[in-house]
Amino acid sequence: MKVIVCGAGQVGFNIAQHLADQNNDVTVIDRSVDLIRKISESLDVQALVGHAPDPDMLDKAGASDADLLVAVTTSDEVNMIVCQVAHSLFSIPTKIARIRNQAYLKSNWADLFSRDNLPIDVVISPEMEVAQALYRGLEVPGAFNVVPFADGKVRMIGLQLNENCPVLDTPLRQLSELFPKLQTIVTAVYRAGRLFVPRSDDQLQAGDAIMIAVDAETTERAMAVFGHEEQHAQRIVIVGGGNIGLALASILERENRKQNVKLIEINTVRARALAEKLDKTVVINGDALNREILAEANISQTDTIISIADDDEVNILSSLLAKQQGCKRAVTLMNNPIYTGLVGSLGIDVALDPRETTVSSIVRHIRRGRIRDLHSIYEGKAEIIEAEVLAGSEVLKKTIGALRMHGDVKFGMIVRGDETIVPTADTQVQEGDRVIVLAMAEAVKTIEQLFSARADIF
Amino acid sequence: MWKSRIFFLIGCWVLLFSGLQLIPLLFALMSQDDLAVGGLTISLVVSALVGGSLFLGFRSAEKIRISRLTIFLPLVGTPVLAIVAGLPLFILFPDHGFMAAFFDGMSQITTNGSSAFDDRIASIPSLILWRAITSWLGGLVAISFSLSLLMALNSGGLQLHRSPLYFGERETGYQRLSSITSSVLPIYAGLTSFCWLFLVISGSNSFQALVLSLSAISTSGGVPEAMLTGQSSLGRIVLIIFLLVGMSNWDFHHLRYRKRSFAIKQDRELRFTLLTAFSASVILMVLNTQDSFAILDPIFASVSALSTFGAIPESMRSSNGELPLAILLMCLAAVGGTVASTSGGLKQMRVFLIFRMGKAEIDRLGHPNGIHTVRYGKATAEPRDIEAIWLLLGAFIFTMALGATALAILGLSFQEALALAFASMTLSGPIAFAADPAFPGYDSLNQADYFILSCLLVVGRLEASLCMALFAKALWRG
Repeated sequence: MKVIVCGAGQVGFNIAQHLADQNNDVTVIDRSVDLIRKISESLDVQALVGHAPDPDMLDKAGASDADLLVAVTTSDEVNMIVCQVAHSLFSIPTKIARIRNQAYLKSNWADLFSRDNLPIDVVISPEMEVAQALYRGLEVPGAFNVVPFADGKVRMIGLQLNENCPVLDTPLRQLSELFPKLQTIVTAVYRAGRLFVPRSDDQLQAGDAIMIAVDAETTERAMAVFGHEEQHAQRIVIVGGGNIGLALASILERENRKQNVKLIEINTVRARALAEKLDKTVVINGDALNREILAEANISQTDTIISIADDDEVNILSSLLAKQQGCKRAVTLMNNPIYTGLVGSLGIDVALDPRETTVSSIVRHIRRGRIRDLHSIYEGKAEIIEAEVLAGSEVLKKTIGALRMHGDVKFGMIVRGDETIVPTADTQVQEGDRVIVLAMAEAVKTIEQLFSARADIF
Repeated sequence: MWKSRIFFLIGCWVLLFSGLQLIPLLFALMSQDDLAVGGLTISLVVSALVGGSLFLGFRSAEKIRISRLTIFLPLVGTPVLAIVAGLPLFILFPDHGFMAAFFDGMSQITTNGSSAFDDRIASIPSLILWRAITSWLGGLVAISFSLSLLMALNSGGLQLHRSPLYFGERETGYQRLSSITSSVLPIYAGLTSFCWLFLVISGSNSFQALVLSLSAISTSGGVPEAMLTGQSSLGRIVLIIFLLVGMSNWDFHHLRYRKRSFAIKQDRELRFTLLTAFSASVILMVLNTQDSFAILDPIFASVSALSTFGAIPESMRSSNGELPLAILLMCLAAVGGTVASTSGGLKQMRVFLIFRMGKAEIDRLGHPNGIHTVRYGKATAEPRDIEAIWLLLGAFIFTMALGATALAILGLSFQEALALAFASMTLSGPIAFAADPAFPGYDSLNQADYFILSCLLVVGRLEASLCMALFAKALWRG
């Protein structure tokens, strides 16, 4: 597939990297010579310096035979124009644009991005999605990753196991015997830097990070089974009032008005703008690395600090200072993957990599077949896929055991109507089922084929 | 140049008032009240001559818009109109003095509702009608002034009120004033007609219904007490509803009419008003120690006080001497109605903002580095808005204290002086009787008292902060 990525910033870089890893023909355009040099030195992509909406530049990038255009420059308006030019002059079939200004995304202006107006097929808002991912993490205390599937009926939860976990050294097949009503299944284990799909006789160990698929209604019980009985955070401090910070604070205000939320922002002008936009959140203007500011935010009594400034070092240090002063839990945004390995040893509870969220939001829109939703984990090592079973698909009326996909794929949960089913080897997949599957990167194509409808039925 | 323009505009207004005197004059002719016919005819001729002279003499004045004109136009225009409004009373009762007539006229056009001639005109319906008409017109002028001149000057942070009305685009002249007046007038007149109709249906005779409807819409309590006490329960309910209408934002009434929807969401002040009226009614019911429990009386009293109509039912007043009741009614009158209404007081928006500013200061103690903004709806109060509100509050209290002190020096008891100063500043004249049960009535005052009260009425209607502009050196330079 030929893909043009406009914008070589952090988001553009991550998308280009992911798509290039998937053997796509990727061209990146950006006005910055430095960014283009960096991307061409790091990735196997064609990199061009220029103004993305310029038709000559798009032509040079091969727009006439491109399948996909992803516009992720820093300007919403440039992204819109790029899509318009790509549509009008080059008829690129799929156009994805990043729009950060929420004013464009209000439901009353929904017609703006229609084919007759601004022909953008998919609008993504990475900051908003990162904020939502952070909020979902707060909804399930103890989890480092929470992804909803099947309209929220199923959750895929990532959690770290510690010595208190009651099911350590227990074969996974015994979990259903020990907890017969527990609607959950362990889909992946990350141990000693290796991600794998566990077999039924595998045992969990302290220090493992696992991904479990769980019926949303039994989340609390499932978390308790794996040793996580943390309380919901009532006092939250957010460090960094950028777009993510503002979006997260807005979600918290909207969804849970009882929480006490404080937001620390170093820039006075920005802090004023935040205070004007937020109703209940206390906006503190100051440096989160200043002990007085942390004390003013009552950090010692805080349940969770969420450090999401645009500087990884500030995020890490503010989290550590907060933990040192008595904050119970630290969630830290880390753009640079080099820091991710330090997390456990430093004392940070959750490190959020925004690349995963951003890449997932793009990739889910370019998959073929009846893929309803998708989330990429562990730098693309695996994908969690929600697929719908169609009349002509290969998987129809087969038992899961008969698919013989051990090792690379784990069926997490099946949603049939209002019912949530924990799949076993004998479970037969039916038409209309929504299946949540974890697939290692090498098995993703097989899953796509399994769930695609055969051409002869049309 | 701007002085010529003021004379021209005032000439127009005097001519308008002169023409309006034809209505009570015709009424007096029909009811064969020779005394009133004489007084009104002389008044009409004199005011027509003065107004016509000003109009003709300054009709070539250039249309300009400068801040000095914006400040002086209401400050000069209001007393001139008060003289015209009080002229028939002065002609008919010269023995009571010019200042009494001037105060009466001022009281009507500022919708204060108190009168220095209550007993004398009780048997002259044409004069009762004239006072009701001037009050009604004063209410309309108050709405237009608030939304145009006072808003342009950001008096008391008025620019935080986001009016849905079209203000016009011309840079010269006072198109905003005329645009607002022409937008509001049909609704103002229409709702007055509805009020009259409902009052007639509820059992009032046509004349009483007319006077009551003109007074209720303009929230001016200047109606003979017999008209109020004689109302049926249905009549009282009608008055309560139309007092609420009168003290609500008229620009939002216009929006409701245009969109054919109740549109309460955008009108934050209306929500506060309804909440305040409801809460106050409940408290008044609790405070009312009368044996005969009448549910309408506390509701009417709270709405009347809040709208600065000021007339308090006998049953609520007869429990006089009870301090909490009087204090609550005074608090309600101090708050007043909405910013684009006919009522007086500080106004709901400002009281809400003062509360929010106080809260922000308390929050600042807990979070010294916190950013504490004061918001009103979607608008954030800028420092200049906050300064304007504090200036208005400070000037309001200072002027009231000054007025009360002056009245006390002139021989009134302190309680009486304070009650009268408060009633004048909040434009809720009749509430003086609830605030000071021993007050014998407005006709017992002397000429100097009337002068001071008239000054307080001007300050109350035109807002204290605007009057403070007179003390700014910059206004007088160049």
